[in-house]
Amino acid sequence: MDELTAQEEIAFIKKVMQDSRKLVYADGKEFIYWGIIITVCLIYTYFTAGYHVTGSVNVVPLVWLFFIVLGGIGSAFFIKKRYKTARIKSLAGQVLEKIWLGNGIGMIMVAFVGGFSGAIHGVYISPLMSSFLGGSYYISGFIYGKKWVSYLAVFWWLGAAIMFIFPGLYVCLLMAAMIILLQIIPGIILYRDSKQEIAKSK
Amino acid sequence: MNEFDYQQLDEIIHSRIRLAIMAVLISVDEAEFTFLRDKINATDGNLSTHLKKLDEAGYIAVNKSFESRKPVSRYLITQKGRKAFEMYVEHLEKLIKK
Repeated sequence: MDELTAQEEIAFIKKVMQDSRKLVYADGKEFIYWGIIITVCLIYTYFTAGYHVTGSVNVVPLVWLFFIVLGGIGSAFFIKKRYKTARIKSLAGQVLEKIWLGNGIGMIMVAFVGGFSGAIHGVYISPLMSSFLGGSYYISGFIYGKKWVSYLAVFWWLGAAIMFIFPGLYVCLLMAAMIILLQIIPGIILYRDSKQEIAKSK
Repeated sequence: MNEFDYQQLDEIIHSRIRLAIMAVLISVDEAEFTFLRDKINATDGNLSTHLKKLDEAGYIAVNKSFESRKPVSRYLITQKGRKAFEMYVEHLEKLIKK
């Protein structure tokens, strides 16, 4: 083996390793799942807090708590299933999971502890969530290797700015619309892409 | 003996496909057979032969299971394989620096 071949070999190893390290299994299922849960809760909050259509305002935090716990149980199920069936398990995938888990706990702290303690007014919870989500999308897009996911962060942050500057009950509807456009639809796209990728590999 | 002896290169790893398998597996925690096949661009038979060689050398391990009644094989690098791969890269680097 001469020097040139050794250099080529090293370059080949580096390329394969770099490509593989970036790989992460993104099926978008949790985007869709959490998106539906939060959208339902936001619409419920809008009609309850604004028009008392769906019961007492005092029940709103409990309804949120119930759905967040339900969401957490569902997420644990998704993670367990993904751990069993993913085509690869990589550090990037683990990093991604930790980012979402860390940010999710942060969001729960802000919404429930901040909200219940009175430190954060309810109307500012949505813009705070939107800010957190922007950060998570920005990093996730980079790890997925999908720039368009990172670009969604701009819209989350823009939405957060609007909701901070112009607070009001309408933020529930705006946030619900943002979740449909920036989370559920992207989740469907990621799900469709992952299905196509799996079909190609069979 | 020369400063660099090519015979020091691990013959098990010193094959394009096996080197690629090792490079993929050292970068991920675990990979499915079909993923390795697509990544390395090998045929099922060819990949199986090379995986068997690496498995026999104790460089990789395999977890076999059934999903929706279909057999699924997942491969991961062993400690011995990791060490052998690092040694292999070290030898290549020595050759370049020579």
